[in-house]
Amino acid sequence: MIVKLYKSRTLGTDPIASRLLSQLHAGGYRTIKAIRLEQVLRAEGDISDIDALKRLFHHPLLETVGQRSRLNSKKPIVEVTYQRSMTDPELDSIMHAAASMGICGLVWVRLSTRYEFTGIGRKEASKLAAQFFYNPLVQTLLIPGKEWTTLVPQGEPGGVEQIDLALMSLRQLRKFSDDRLLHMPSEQLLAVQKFFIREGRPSRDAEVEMIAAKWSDHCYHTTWKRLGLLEYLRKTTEKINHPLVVSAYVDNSGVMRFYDGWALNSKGETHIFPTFGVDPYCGIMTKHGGVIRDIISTGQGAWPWGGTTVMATCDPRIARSRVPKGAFHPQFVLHESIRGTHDYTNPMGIPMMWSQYLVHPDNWKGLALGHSFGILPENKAKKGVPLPGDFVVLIGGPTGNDGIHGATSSSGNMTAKTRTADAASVQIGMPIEERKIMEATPLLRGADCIRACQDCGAAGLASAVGELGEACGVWLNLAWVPLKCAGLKDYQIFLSESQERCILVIPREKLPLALEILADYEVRAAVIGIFTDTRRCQVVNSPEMNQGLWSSHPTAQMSGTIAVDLPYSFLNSSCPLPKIKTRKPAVQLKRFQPRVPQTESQWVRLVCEHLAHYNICDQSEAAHRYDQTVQGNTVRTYIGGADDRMPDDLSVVTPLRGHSHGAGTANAVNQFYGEISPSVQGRLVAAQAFAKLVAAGFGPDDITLCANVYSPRATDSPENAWRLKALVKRGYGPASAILGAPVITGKDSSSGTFITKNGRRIDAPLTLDINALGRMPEVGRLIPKPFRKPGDTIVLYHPGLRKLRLGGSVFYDLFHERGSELSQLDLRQLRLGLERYHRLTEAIKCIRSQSVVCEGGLIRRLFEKGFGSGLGCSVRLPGDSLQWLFGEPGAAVLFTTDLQTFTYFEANDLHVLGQVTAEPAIEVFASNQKRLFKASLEEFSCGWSKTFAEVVQ
Amino acid sequence: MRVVQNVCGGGPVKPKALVPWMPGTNCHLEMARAFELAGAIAEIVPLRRFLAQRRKFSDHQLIGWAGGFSWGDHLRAGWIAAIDLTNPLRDQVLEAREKKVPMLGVCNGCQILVSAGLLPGLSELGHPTAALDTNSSGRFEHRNAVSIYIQEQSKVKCLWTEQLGGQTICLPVANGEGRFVWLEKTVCRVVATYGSPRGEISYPASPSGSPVAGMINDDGTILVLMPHPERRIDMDHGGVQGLGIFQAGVAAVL
Repeated sequence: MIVKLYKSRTLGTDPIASRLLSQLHAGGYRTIKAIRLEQVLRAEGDISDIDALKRLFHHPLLETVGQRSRLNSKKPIVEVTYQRSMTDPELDSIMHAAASMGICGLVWVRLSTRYEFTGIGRKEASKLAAQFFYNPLVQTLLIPGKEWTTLVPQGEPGGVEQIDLALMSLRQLRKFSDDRLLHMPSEQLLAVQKFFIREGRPSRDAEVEMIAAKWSDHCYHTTWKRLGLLEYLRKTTEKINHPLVVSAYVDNSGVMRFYDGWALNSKGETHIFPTFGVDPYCGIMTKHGGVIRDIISTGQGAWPWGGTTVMATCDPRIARSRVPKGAFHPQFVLHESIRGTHDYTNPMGIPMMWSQYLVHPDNWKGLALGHSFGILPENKAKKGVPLPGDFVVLIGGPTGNDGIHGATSSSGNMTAKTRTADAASVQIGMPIEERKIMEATPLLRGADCIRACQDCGAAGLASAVGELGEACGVWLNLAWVPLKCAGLKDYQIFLSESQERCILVIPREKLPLALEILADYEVRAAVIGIFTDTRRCQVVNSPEMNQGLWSSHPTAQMSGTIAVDLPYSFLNSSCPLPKIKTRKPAVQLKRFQPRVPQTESQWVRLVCEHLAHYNICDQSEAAHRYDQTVQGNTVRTYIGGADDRMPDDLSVVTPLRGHSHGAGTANAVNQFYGEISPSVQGRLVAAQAFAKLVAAGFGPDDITLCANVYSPRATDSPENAWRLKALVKRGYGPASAILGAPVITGKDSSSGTFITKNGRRIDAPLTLDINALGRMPEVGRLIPKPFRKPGDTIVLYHPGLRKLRLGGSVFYDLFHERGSELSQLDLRQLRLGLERYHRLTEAIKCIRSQSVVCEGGLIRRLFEKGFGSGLGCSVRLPGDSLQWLFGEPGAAVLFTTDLQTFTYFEANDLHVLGQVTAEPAIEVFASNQKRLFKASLEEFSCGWSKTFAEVVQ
Repeated sequence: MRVVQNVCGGGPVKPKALVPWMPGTNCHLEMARAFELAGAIAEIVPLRRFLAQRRKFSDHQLIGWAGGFSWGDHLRAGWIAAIDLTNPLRDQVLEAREKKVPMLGVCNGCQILVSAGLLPGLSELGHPTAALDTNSSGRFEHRNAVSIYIQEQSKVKCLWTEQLGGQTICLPVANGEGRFVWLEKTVCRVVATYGSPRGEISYPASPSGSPVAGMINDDGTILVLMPHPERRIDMDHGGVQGLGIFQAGVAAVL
């Protein structure tokens, strides 16, 4: 029997429905007059007490519940629920509550949401629901009158398909790859064909899928390997030989030494393809879930203490008619990305340490990047290696059909068909599962239960277990994998990227203790195999094998259905790299000279427009959705100041509870500079991230970098390949060496190309994000950002600045121009200058406030420091007014002090600009003493406050 | 106010503060630290041990229900955990209440205790007279420093705020369902308000849209707060304005 209970709100207006309505209005659906929501609980079983079920389902003050709907059936109603092949994320919670209430006979439950619309027709309501309210891969619209006869997922798991590749022509191989969404290039297909001809047997579907995932650009970094970039970065970091580096390029994240025997780890992860191509909400949840698992699964397990989110889209204010078919409207991507971020990171209980939203007109397949940071004992920070006989233990959520082909799809172009063709590659986020893993990990580590660990990210078990098995060999039984979907084929179980799962390598003698700890923290755990000495990856599906009996005498038995039996010698060394040509682009850079304002009011208007630019405006509307103080270790939030809206340059926590040692992160990202010079882009961005930490009080020798590069496809564009090489090899690579800040982690993504329906190719802008992670012995040394005291001297310190230019600036972007020349930095001089600055801050506490001048130029920082303090300033520019106000020097430190002399610094590197004033206004004089303008902070803040707020509200 | 005497020869011993953990709890470490800084011995214990009757609430002198997203906040924030408290753990909760074990519920802990019907008023366990509704903005709100006015002890007796009456303290707020609503006839003992003694409802002075930031039960032992005092317990992290609440709780059981 299936019981249906309808729950609707009775108290006041429904804030969720109101918000949904206003978002749809903002999205152009203005004919909708009202939306009402109703939740439905379907419960199957011989249920003893329906009244108890009602009490479970609703809050008596806020809601009413009954067996009849309260919505108006004459109006259009759509009902969204999970497909029956899926398990609802809420199932465990509801079943737990039902057991607590003593409700007997309950077999299964499902939730659905009903939306009643006023002002549109049924057809339009269904269209709207399909577009915004559900993911067709895992959810469905319930057709009125067509009820399920059972709620339990239906289907039989297992099954292997044999594929004979031997006789296929290249054309047939390509078609095979396309049909299965493998995105394999021809040379890889031929290598696979050759292997199976040599083996003298047909391939199995799980084997081909595993090879495609393993050799994808996402997992194997084929583009970067071919261009020699990974090797170059590795060698550069080795050459720096930084004493703080514990682990780089070998584990899921990079590790640097902290204090008292502890280490910090960091990682940046992009999740671009599903975010822009399939489902922004789930894509963003996966981004955060994945990068947090990278942190947790480093060494023998780490504790995450911070994260970031960086999103770059097209302008969300763009007309709908200008959105190419196959792309989402950028406002939708933005809304969904904010929702995805707060729905994942807040329940995870990890403080947000940076959020940033950028626009560029070519971001149809834009940037979705997130970082995570963690802490672990240094003696448990090296990547572990399994030994034969260790157990393969799968922990976390059950496996479903979500996230199939994530690794391969993310390596392909996004096209107008992507949204439907690759829909299966989206995962369903369930942060509570991951939080439980996070909770149990330090306890398992402390009890020496973890020999090694690996998160199930791209390509799921195939990648996680596959990689761990490389050391010796591995055997798995897919029949022991807990499933949340019925009817999964073996390759789907093996490749599924269902979130919130990790593999632990547990020594046999530690298994009972490990299972006890996991049970205490309610982490689902299943022993699914064993490490062997075969140097093969062997996967079977053998439901007949008794897991309990097997555990007492575990051996690798090739019984049941064999899904995979491949030698690591083939998997690891036979991947042909793509042929990539490089050619310097013949770009005609266009000089641009904006008109200089002639009156004070023209200046004020120009500054207001500049501050209102999307990339540098007030983005606190998003930041306030993210918990920045959870864990109770936050020293400095990235949004702060007097009214909690001033953007800071960095964020700092004390990850060792009870100690004052600080860990700080500063982020720098740019999408404009690369259009002029990728190599200078690399240097400026690296310098910026580095300088933000040093300016705030971190030592120049206490910093490591995480670099994330997002580039358009290079395999078919020699110019793109040249740009990418220039960015790495002449850009941030050498910059890290000169600055003495090694790149210890990061991620490349070289698939930033969108093909429209009519075949137009839109390359995403070359994007570099550098996140600097620093340590500080005592957080009392931190220097704040807001102005501190009227009368303080304002100084601009710019060591190494050789040329200050407006090219690539946010200011030029106001005019839709890039210009022809970027600012030039001598990084050696910058390093020396910052060392001098740091010595001064250590010797005497004379720097009262600081900020680094970068995107948005000097005027942005003067405004922010004023806005955050309620104080103003009066300054005189040292040279060309436009250049000094709006130019982006990369790493100049704007500080205030009570010092009267500046003998500590080289005179050429320093300009005394003026003073902090009690009046909350900014007054600016030209170098010839002529006053350019004066206006209140309130006036300047008008446009600055509105741009982002209007887009997201 | 003194509730439990816990003195042995040679001076007061440290009271035991329990911080229960359940799937989704994520502010337990800082709450345990706050109790320890205030002079207690804090212990984080998975709730399943209480459900299995391996532990008892009343073995502790203080209980801190920490923030987070218990059981994913499925159905409503704190609702599933409240079902545990009012059903299998009913006797333990009643015993702790009977013994006047001081309890502090912060954020999700507040949502759990209110949903369980432990307060406000003289409600029966399992029959809530109030709720923490979705914020007026319809979304999660984080604010780093929100002004919270603590009512005078002469007006509202509360052992947790004994030394703080009449003061305004700044605390972080982080929730999506933080708007107090209650049945008309319910007598609410409001102990903390947003921004002023009467309480502000304007945004962002009140991130939730309710003037009420915290309530106390009738005998002054069970305090629920939506803001986070455990995030303001030392000078490195924005000051010690929240520590006084934990110190008062610990002092009450010494």
